[in-house]
Amino acid sequence: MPYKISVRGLVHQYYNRHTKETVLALKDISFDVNAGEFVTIVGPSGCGKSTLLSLIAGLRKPSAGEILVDGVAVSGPGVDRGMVFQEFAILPWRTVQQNIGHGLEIQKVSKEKRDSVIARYVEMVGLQGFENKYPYELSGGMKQRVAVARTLAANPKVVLMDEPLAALDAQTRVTLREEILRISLEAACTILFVTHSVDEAVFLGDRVVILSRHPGEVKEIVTIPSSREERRYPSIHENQRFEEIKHHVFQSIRQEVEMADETTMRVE
Amino acid sequence: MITDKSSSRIYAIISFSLLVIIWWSITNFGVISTAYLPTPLQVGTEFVSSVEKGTLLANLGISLARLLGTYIFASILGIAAGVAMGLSPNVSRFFRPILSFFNAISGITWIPFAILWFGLGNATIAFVIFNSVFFIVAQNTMTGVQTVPEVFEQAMLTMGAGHLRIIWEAMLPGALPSIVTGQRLALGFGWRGLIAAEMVAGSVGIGFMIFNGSYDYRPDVVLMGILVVGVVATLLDQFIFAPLERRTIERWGLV
Amino acid sequence: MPAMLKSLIRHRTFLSLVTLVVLWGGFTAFQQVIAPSRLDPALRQAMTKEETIGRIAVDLSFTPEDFHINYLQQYGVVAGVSGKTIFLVQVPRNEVRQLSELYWIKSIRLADQ
Repeated sequence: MPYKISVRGLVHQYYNRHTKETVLALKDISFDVNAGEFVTIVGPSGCGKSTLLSLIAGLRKPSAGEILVDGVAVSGPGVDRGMVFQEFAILPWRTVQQNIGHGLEIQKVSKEKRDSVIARYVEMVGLQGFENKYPYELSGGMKQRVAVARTLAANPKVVLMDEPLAALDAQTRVTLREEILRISLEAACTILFVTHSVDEAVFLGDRVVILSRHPGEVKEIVTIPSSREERRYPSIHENQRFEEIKHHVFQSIRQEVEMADETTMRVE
Repeated sequence: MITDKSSSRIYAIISFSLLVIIWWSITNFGVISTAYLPTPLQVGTEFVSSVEKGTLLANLGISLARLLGTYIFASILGIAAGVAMGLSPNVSRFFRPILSFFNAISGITWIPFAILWFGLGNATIAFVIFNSVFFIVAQNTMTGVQTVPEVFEQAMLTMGAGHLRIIWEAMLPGALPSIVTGQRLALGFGWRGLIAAEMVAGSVGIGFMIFNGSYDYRPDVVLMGILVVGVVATLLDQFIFAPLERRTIERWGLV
Repeated sequence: MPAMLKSLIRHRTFLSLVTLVVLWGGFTAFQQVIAPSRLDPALRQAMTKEETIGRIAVDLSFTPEDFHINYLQQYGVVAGVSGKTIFLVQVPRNEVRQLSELYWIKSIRLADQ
């Protein structure tokens, strides 16, 4: 079976106008994602994990290498790849349901069809009763639910999530992790999820891609043995296997951070 | 309970009453001769009589028509220019210095130049209003568009939106608070430019009426005209633009 | 959007603007209604027969200023001012009708040639 997403030899470098240097952000990234899989990407900060996601979204162009979605090369942004951003990217001048239906509106889906899809996703993310509220009337967690619903409602082949929970408080973050897990099973979609939290990556992912320090490379890909259906907070912390994997991933990233610190120190 | 709004209204009434009382005392008791500063009563009488004679309303109507026509025209062009500059960093880098420069020149500075070009009359007045409005609108629109978070554009791109759609559904609404602020400032500048231009280049209009009053040795006409200019500007600002500005900002919780 | 429109319509600013427009409209309409009463019967008679009125006298309730003379110049040639009266020559009849709608004009008469 062909992969849903194939990343092949991806290189990204850009010119930093302030330091007047060409920066190599990603060097030779390759990995594959199967249909229906939930893959998380972790790495030390500044390793280019968000850059990787925006390359897949087509918002930036890679310097070399290619990205295939269902075997078709990515050349720009497209409705086959929906994205949830770290910042609350829903439009403040649209109500919850107008935001959720925005993608469908762009795809010129009829009003009746749109309304039924909106209703379905409002329910899926638990925002019943808030359909006509404006984003400023919602908490951060609710805004991100709207963003998730908006992305899913547009029916993309893959969903890209760029640290969607990073701007939320700890309690909301934990709740939304479970929500995202449930939604991922309910919507049966392929998800690529970037995070800097090891706990999050291991809790959510079928597989965890660990990126090396800057410039980013795939250091290791860890498969999580348990199925997503079984995972719950806080019982997951009692699972010995889960804690071991978390520890392993954590050590792997820490090694990268320490090496990065040494390099910086040597430069200084 | 005294709300913030009503208490500030009370203060406004008190301060204006105080001003009128001072004015009344110094004119009534001959501190300043009424040949130079008319009494409140004289100004009030002139106001009533100029309404009766049709001079005030007709002049005011002409002035407002001039302002409105040019203001709308200059605003549309200013918004279009501002959006174009806000969208492209290169275009804005190119035009921003020019814009700041022209913004530093107040609209009325163009009056002599406009007279050279268009002579005395409506074209000159329109040119001055245009210059008072266009640059400030363009600059505020540009700033507004530039402050729209990039992630709105990215989100719409991933939903398959085209550029026109992104401008219409993300850039313009996002820039709206700044655009409204620009419109508000521009109306004030346009009104000032109009009055000044009418004084120099008009043969009708409220500015002309004031200026002509001084030729006729009619301080009551002059002062009445000045007060009307102030009242009209305040009404336009406080009753149309201030609420509009508050609402666009409050509506979407954009602060 | 409809919710926004509804709240806009209920807004005090909008309501006072509407009131202003209504008042102005009412005033204009009233002026149109009473306009014929400003025209003297002989002039009204003449207007039924002729396209252009040769010479009219416009009476004001005050001494005309430059403004009024300039203003009336739009309607016809000002032939002279005497007291509170301005004389106009060669005024098309529908412009006489428009003149009669101006609230600051007291009456309009047919003047001797």
